[in-house]
Amino acid sequence: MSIAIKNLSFNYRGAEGFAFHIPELQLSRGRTYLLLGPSGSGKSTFLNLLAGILQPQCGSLEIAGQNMTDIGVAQMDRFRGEHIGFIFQSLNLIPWLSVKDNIALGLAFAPKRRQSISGDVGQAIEELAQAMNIEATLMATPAGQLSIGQQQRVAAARSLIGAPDVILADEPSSALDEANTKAFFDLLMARLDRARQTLLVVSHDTRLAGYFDEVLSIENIIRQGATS
Amino acid sequence: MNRLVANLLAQSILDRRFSLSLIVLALAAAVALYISVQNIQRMTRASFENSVANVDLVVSARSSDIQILLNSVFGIGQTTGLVSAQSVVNIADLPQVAWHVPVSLGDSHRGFRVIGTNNGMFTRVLKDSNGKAAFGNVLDAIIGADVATALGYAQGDAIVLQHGVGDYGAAHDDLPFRIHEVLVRSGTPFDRAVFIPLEASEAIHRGWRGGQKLMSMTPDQVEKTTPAPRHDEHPDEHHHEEEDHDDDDKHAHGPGGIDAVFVGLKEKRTLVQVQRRITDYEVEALTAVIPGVALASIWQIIGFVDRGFMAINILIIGLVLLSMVAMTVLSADNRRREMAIFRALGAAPRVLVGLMIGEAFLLSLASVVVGIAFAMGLSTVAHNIMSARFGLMAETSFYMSDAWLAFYLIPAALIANLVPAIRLYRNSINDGIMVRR
Repeated sequence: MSIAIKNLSFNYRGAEGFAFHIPELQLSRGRTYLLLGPSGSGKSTFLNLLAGILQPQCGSLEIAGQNMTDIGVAQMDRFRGEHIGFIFQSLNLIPWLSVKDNIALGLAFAPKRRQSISGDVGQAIEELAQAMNIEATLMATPAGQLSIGQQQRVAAARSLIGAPDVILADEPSSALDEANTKAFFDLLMARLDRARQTLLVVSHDTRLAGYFDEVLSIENIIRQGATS
Repeated sequence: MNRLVANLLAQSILDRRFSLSLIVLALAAAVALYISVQNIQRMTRASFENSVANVDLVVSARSSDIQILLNSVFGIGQTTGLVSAQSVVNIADLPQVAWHVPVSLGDSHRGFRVIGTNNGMFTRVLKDSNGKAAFGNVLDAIIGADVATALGYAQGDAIVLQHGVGDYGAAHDDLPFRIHEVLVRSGTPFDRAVFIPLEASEAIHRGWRGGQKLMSMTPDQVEKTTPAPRHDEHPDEHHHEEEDHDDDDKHAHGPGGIDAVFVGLKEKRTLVQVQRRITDYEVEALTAVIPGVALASIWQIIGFVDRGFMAINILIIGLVLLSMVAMTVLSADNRRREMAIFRALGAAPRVLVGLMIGEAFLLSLASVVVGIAFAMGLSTVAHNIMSARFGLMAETSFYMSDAWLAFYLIPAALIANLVPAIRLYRNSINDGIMVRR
């Protein structure tokens, strides 16, 4: 099991009225998931919990065999770098870094992930970039000078480099048109190691359902309630 | 910190080079101000002390130590009385005295004071810079470097002295002096003086009473009736201190007396003994001033200025640190998104704090280095102004010891920046992975 949740409860401290509880959720290794839900339904909070950035009040959250509620902040940061890849809704590339350095950033804080690359890291980055349809001439270009579609592919490459166990994506196609969305997901799915990597994409766009092994609804997995 | 993180730090700084340059310039200005205040203060003291470095005692008619020193060395204030020729001889006769240089004041030339003296002024008092200067004839003048620069004088030019120190005095126009030599800059108030032989100083005042000329003399008359300046004080012609003393005994000091005597001792340990001996002198009331002690009194009197400088320095240091913290907070706000991304990608707290502190280190280092460069420039300007306006010049225009103090600002800045850096790390948690700024 890649992600296993049991009786997980969370509420924002001081923010009355929003809390949720997940009785049980299991996401399998090597599968792709789409989590659908409207805005404000708690999707981002859920992703923050999975990433270990928010701490649940109680319950168990296990990712790649590690119980996230058992480890401290510094360990959590290290674990996140090593095992989780992110694709942000606003892409969040560092605009002044080159395309190559932006992709390498996925390894910057994850030495084990870096070591998992056999051979030259620079070459691995270039191969991945090529697979993600990023032209070689763009590798030295600052990310801030790329088009949205190009940035999207760089952000995906950054999350994929070093093959982390789990890839979390928050509305990754919100800025793309239909043709680019299809191209993006085709590339993303092609690069996934279907034997061991798990992909969880959060979106409100039901049209994406066809790309994934399973589609989940946020309403079905969490039980919202008032702050206890 | 691996290569990529160091690269991140460098590229982030490079990306914000314009705004960060402005911050570095502002901090460097504060650092330069701090160093310059320290430097000018130290330079002023060194310049004053340098002026009387070779003189053990300054003897004058009974007055306050400070007044005697200011008048005889720095040309500030008025003479309170004269030392008689006999007393000068008696002082010179003291066994502890190695040499003495008489100083006669009271005349001026176009705003510059005239000092009647002998060659000992050059071979003894100004020996470090002008040890070989010497008068040739009675009506020879030797001028300080600043006088030559300010008035455009050169060797061979004729000058007329004025009776008194203001512009209102009558001119000794019947007895023009010829510039025999221009001194090299000594960094002392003597750079702004015109030296004439003591014998000439006495001769040009013959026939004067109450500041009025009653009888004129021709240069020929003066040269015939006045002994030529003695060359026996020239270092090349001296073999040991005892000989100096014997020669000085024979010097004429004129009937009217002189304003002050600069005295050098054979052994410094006899300083207090000689001072007491002169103070207890019964023939006339004299004061023997130890220049270093009198200068210390001056510094004590103007101690409030020192305290003012100190307060300014403390304020400047506070300003520098506050600016650095403000810089970090500002920078942190600008970099919040960047830090949140790093955090989401697994950067540990120490990496984020390290990036911020690393940047603070590089900026404070750059500020200190640029500030020192600014301060060196400012000190050179201050050095030139002090030299040109006041005839004061320290041996060095820049004291590196003050500059090293500025480097202590770097650890202080790092400590001051820790709080905003930790605050940034905490904010990066709140921002989570959904940063959209």
